[in-house]
Amino acid sequence: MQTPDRRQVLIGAGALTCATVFVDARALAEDQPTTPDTSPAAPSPVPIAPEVPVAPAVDAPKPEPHDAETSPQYQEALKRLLGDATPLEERVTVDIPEAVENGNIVPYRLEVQSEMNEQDSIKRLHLFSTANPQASVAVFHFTALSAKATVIGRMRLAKSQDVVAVAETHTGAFLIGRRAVKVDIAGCGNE
Amino acid sequence: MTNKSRIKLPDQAATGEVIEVKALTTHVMETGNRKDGDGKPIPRNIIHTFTARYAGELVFKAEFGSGIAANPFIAFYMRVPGPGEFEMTWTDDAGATTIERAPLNVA
Repeated sequence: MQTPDRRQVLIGAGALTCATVFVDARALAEDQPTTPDTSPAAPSPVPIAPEVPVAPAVDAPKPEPHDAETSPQYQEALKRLLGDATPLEERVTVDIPEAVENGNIVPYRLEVQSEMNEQDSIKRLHLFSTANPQASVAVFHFTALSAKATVIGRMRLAKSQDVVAVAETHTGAFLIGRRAVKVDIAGCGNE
Repeated sequence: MTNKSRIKLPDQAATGEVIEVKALTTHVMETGNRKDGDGKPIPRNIIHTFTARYAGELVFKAEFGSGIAANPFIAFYMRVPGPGEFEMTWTDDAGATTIERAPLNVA
């Protein structure tokens, strides 16, 4: 039987690579677009997207509802994404059970209301944990073939917390949604 | 590490139709936060990138952090541009890439 021997060698080689690889845990969080087209610093005299009002149209910027409970890494990650922009609290739905027993497998469904056409589309959707060791859980990229700005998956939650989703529109505007989740058994392998 | 991956598509689809695409692979998604029996940290090894192409075109991409559960499952939506085949890739920190293909039955 030659095959099992070869397979074991391959597994061994894989494990060796695994052990020696250096991983930058912040690579994901830092992989944000730095291109000027999404930068809020560039002043634009004409509103690019009349259908999406920019921050000044809102009466007063809403403070983070659970600011005291969010981790510093979440606040940093959000700041890195948003810069000085104020996200609109609309169109983003974070659908997660209100209470979960097992924080290792938490089903989520993120949905952004969007026509997903040339006039109105979502480019990226960022999923954040406000209390996990790493704030950036995932970044989803949509394309011209994406029919909906909706994504479904399973995440880990280290403890009860808010889960936050931030969408980037094709005009560079930000939309935000959140949901509080109670967790019985911690995920994230902190034990 | 042998990864078993599965793609779930509708049995049949029409051009212009919106379909749900589901993909699943097996992976430990080691966070890097855990320690082994001797108290040594277990290095992080997660699938950091998932891509889905259809007929050669990128449809959807996900960058994962350690907050994604083991054996990552993902579902997304595509408007069918015509006949074609899906090619999905999962790439982990150890450099291992898993590729899975599935044709879509376009009526």
